[in-house]
Amino acid sequence: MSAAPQVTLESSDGEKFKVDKEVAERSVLIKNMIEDVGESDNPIPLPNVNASVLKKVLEYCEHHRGDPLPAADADPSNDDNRKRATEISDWDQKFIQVDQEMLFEIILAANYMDIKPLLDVGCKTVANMIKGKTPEEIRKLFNIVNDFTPEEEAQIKKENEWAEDR
Amino acid sequence: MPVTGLPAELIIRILSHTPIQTIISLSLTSLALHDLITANENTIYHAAAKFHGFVQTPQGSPASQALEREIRKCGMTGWLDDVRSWKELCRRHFLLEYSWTEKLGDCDLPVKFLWPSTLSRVYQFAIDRLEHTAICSSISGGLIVAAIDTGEQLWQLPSDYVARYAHIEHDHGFLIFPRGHDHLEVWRRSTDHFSPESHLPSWPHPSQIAVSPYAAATPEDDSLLPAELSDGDNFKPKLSTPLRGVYLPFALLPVPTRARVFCLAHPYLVAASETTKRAYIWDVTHATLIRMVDISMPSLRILDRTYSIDTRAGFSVICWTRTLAVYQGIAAEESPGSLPEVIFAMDWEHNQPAALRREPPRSSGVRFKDAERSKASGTTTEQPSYLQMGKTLW
Repeated sequence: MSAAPQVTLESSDGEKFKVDKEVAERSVLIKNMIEDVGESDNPIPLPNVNASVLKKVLEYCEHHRGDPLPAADADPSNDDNRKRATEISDWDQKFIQVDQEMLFEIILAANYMDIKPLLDVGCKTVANMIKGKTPEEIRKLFNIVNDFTPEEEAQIKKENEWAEDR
Repeated sequence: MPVTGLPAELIIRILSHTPIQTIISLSLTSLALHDLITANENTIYHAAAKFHGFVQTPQGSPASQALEREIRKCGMTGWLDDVRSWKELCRRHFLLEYSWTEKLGDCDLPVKFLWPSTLSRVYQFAIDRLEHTAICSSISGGLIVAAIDTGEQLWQLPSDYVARYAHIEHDHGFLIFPRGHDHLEVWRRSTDHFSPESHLPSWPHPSQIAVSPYAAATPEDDSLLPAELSDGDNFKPKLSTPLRGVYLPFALLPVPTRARVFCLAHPYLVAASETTKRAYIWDVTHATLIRMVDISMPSLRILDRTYSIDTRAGFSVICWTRTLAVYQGIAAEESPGSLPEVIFAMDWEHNQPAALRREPPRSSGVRFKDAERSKASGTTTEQPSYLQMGKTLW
């Protein structure tokens, strides 16, 4: 019996990763590329993803290689599970425990490579980071500079006071 | 600029996993984020409305169309009439929630609550959350449907038609109330009758048609025929469009004598007869009797009466004169052929567990493990596991 078919991916900084086709195809982008180009020994270039991020993304794909694929035409805004924002599986939770920069890199890569479950894990993680925080706490978390005038800030607060926790 | 370094679509995606308070907090962090959220307000608050459960999730339609549909759904109440954005829809829901929980401060209240004098003799009421109406039976007979927001009386049945102190059940647009001792009336919300998705053939009795100002009157005699004899396919109401609060006759179900308590757990209608000691289960959407089950137990005496019944999540609770019994499997979904299981009963005259009808089957081994163990060791004392089980059910 021959070994599982493999493909080679090339990161933006030129590093090559040889992985099982099944693993690489967790990425809809790569799956479509393989379908368009056909089997080939040439490495598939991923100019938007550097080696350290790609390594991390492939770790995710490897772990989830057997999972059922999400419906191709699923509209992200119709995700029934969106409300359960805190529900991230244990493995995914450990996996996504990375520094902030890497977290955003993973989200961008998942978006670019079209790996919806990974994108969801990333977005839910950021959502959980900011949930329940005050504007000042969020600024601190992400190094955001407050560039409102006090009047502007007061005006926005007033417009939205209906949503304040009571 | 970390977070803002993400493209807008990803920030929108992140915000779809957060409550509205977080969206507002984020928009208060910087001008750039405020502008991003404002520019995508409808998409973000549409997702927020789903996050908070204010709306269901219709498949793949743009935010603006979904909003129109949502407003139309509540159209008959006027509650959302001037809503033009998802953010405003969310605000209305927040205020409504605050007004129920009495947390409303100085904000303007979008909903008025008026209690008309017609409701002063209410015996029982049910709330229709879709049409925002209250369906009330009266201590002096009759039935009325009133608009919750204005108190306007939308529809009624006369007091010589609906008995005094009538128990009413309402679920999924079906309205049930008794007629005499031997029939249950089934009426259906006109909205559902006219909706292509929920239309069902109905089998109204001529007497029901005759009493309803909106149903076509038939010249036939109005003696009580079995419901099956009336012609469901030809039933055409006088109405041509649905009217808020108006119900149309659906069926008249014959019941055995003294089935005084009944409960509607859509689509099942369960009635318990104190004379036959049986429960009768109808599929109300087809007006058909689908099961008849024995609900007797040793502790029931011949003259024991039923006082109330409640059915949900596979359990039915029947309150008898001296006994409160919890049955499993009366509603039909689990096992249409089998008898229900009395899983717990309380004799409240003596404040102790009542004797149960039969031994639990082996198949439900885990739940009854303790009982089986005590049986194996030859003890014949009370079965404590039932009591425990009952306690957790409370």
